[in-house]
Amino acid sequence: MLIRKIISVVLLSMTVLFSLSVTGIAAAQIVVGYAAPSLDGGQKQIFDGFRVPAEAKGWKVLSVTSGGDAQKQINDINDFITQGVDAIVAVPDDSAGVCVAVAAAQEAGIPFYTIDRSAVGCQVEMTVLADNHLGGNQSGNAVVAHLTKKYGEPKGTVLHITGNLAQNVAQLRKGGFDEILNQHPNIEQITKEGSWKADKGVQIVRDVLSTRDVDAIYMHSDCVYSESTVQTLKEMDQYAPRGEDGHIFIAAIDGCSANIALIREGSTDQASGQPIPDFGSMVVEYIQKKLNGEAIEPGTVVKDGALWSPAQLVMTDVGFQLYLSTTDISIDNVDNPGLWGNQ
Amino acid sequence: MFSYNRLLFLIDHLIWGILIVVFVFFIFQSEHFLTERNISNILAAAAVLGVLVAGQTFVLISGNFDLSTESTLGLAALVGVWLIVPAGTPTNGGGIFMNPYLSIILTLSMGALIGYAIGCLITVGNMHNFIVTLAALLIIRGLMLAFTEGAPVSGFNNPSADVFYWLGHEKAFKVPGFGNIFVAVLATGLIYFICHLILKHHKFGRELYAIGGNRDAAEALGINVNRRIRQVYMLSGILAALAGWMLAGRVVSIQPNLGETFIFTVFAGAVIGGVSLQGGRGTMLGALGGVLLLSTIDRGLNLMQVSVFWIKVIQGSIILVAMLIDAQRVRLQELSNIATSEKKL
Amino acid sequence: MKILELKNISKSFGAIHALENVDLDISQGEALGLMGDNGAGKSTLMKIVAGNFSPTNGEIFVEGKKTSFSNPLDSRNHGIEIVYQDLKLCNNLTASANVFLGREINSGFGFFSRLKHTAMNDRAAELFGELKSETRPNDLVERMSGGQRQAVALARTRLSDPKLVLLDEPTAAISIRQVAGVLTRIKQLKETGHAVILVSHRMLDVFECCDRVAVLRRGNKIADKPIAKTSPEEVTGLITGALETA
Repeated sequence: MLIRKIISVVLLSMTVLFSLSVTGIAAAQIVVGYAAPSLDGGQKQIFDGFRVPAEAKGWKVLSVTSGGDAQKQINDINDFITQGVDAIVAVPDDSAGVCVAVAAAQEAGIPFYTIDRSAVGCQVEMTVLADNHLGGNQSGNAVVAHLTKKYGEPKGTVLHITGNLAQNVAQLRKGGFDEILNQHPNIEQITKEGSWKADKGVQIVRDVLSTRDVDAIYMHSDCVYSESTVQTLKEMDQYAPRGEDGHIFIAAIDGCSANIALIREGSTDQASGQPIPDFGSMVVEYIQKKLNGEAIEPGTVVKDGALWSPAQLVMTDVGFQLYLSTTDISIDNVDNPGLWGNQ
Repeated sequence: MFSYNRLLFLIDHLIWGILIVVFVFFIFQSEHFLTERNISNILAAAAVLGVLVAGQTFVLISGNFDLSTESTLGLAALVGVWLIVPAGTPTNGGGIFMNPYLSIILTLSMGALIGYAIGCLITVGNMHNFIVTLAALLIIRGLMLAFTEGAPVSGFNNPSADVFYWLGHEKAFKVPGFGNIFVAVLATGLIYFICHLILKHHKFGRELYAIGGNRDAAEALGINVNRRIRQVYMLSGILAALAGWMLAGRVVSIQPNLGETFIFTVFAGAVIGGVSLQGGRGTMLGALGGVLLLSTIDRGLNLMQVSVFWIKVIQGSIILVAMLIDAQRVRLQELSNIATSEKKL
Repeated sequence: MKILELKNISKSFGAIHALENVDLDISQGEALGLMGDNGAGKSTLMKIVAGNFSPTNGEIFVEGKKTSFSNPLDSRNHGIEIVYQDLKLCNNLTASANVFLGREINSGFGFFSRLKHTAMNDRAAELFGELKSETRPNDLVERMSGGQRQAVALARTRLSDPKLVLLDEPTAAISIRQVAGVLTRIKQLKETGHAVILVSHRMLDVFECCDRVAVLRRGNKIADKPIAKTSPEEVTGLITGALETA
């Protein structure tokens, strides 16, 4: 009797599995495997940016998440290869680690695309990512414009809170910003490494602002730092909204919804917005080109009215890279529905 | 004839029955399941988990448990590669350029040392194994983060690291019907064979069962229980380091979070394979069955294209079903004990 | 010949004196009943003989030679076997594995040794036969009756042909019907030239199979006389304190 009970439980779970299964794919349908660290928050937006246009084309999108486990991502991508998908898209857990999966896909003749992070050490079909250097430029220009307006000439003190400088993305965000500010010798920069950690950012703001007068703050990620920084300014009685005396100009990269709201209320001023929803639609476009057998040429890609335009397509030793423009967000265009922070 | 003994035998070996049922089920669900590529994937994905579960099986049978192995695995992989590759981006190594063979020896010794330290804290320091291994889990993970400051250590396309990666990376040969067999799979098979011998046919294994079954009795009969517990943690540490060495070759780039939350899967594999959390019960072959079942289910669910949002629910349910069977097994055993002893009286 | 001699054994745990200057001896082929109320010091004395405790003071002689036991294995190696009240069996192991626990038969040595399952099972089957028990070597202990479990614990003591067997309350946990069997086995041990110490509460058992009885009270030995020269009434009086000395 017990064994019957056990068997019935097993059968029951099988039935559950069966009902969840998808029976067969039409032979002609294009199937694309999508591997991401997770499918919530920003990752969900990136995924939807891919899924919606892909499904509009009648493609089938398979998705897996790794939860940050590089081994699981490799296993999952191997399962895509087993199923003979037409293309694989990944937001790599790890730039070098993904190459193991890329090699397996290439062996099976399946084109491999990455989003947001490029591969390191192997060639993929294409990587779509934001032009982080341009984002640094945009924030830098906004800071210089503010200081020029405030003092009549570009001078003053800027606090620069970085991400983890061991990572390429933080180096680009720093390089683009420094490129602009270094043209103005009267602007003093205080640069501190925040390692993408909000608590570290808070400590930096406290330490620096308790000894120095700062005119502007530039942060590598508003998703991480913006809310806690504004909060800290309030606690230190150094907060003043935009337009009032003593307002500290805050520029940042990413354009998270939190910071969009802060710009709207006048607590922060500028964001270089990531083209998050456009990563996926661009990948869909280029997969289609690949399937049609169209060759792609390096150069500038332009599309009128698109926030990501112009984009730069360059050939590198890790494959084609498509750099989408970041969007220079200020109070003037903060309500644009195309911004991912508004979606 | 209905016989408790026969039923118990069945339940003890149920894992292989379940594995076959699940296997057949997936064959009908996906045309891609019974392909060389997928069989090769099932085995390759089971290798690292398998080595960790083998270590945990020893610890569980002795009536202890070791939460720290996922961190030991990560640290071993990290240090192993760090010692070999150059400093600075993108490799972020130590720039020591150590001989990879020496690095392997150091890595495994480090695992042994961590295990020994844990064993000493438990036996000599008289601390609870849950607390000690939980603390070790956190401390070792913390060391990895502090050591790397969050940046991954990578030896991709680095010839000397390739020697280190060989274990996890290399395809040994092709078997018709099984596809490419990785060195890691062969190594795991060999490890299970040796562990099976130790557990079933060596005094050491016999004493672990005794300690897990009745620690008092083992002590009274002159078994040096504390020494055995230290050895079992050492063994667990070495196998965790070996798994780390293996995993390093599979993922190539060592993130400081490598192996994080792996421990849950390790316990699931062991328990599904019939290794009791109460100590004293279980076999290496059962544990191997548990590992293969988990990997088969992972692959199968992906090939069935089950939505990512449901996969975790299903995996959790499978663990529950396994625990249900385990609970029934204990109840059956008690029933049959009563039945037999009353007959004898 | 004296198999075991304890001289002036004292054991204290902090301020508590569990044993004070206890002398005890036992010869080949002799059965000694060790009696006393709870807390009289019986189990402390037993643990000293078993090698679990070292005495605070006093000396231990085995066959006339002064020795000391630092762990249970020492005591076993000197030919002293203990059958504990709770039998110290591992439920998860087979009868044969329990009999050989700590003294497995191996082929090869060190890391490369291998358990000789068949040899151990055969020997265990022989021992169960000698004990007239139906236990089979491959049965799991958790599936055994009290009498069978007792047989497994007794079989352990016969592995090495010990000089002295110490039984701790062997009849406490089994059914009345099985008591006779246990007492027969004790007599068998005596007849085959073993020394036996029987720690027991049951007056009947002691008077049926022992040659001598020693009584402990509050850590002191207050009596040690041949069974023939005493009576259950006297011993009861000594245990309860109604009689000061014998």
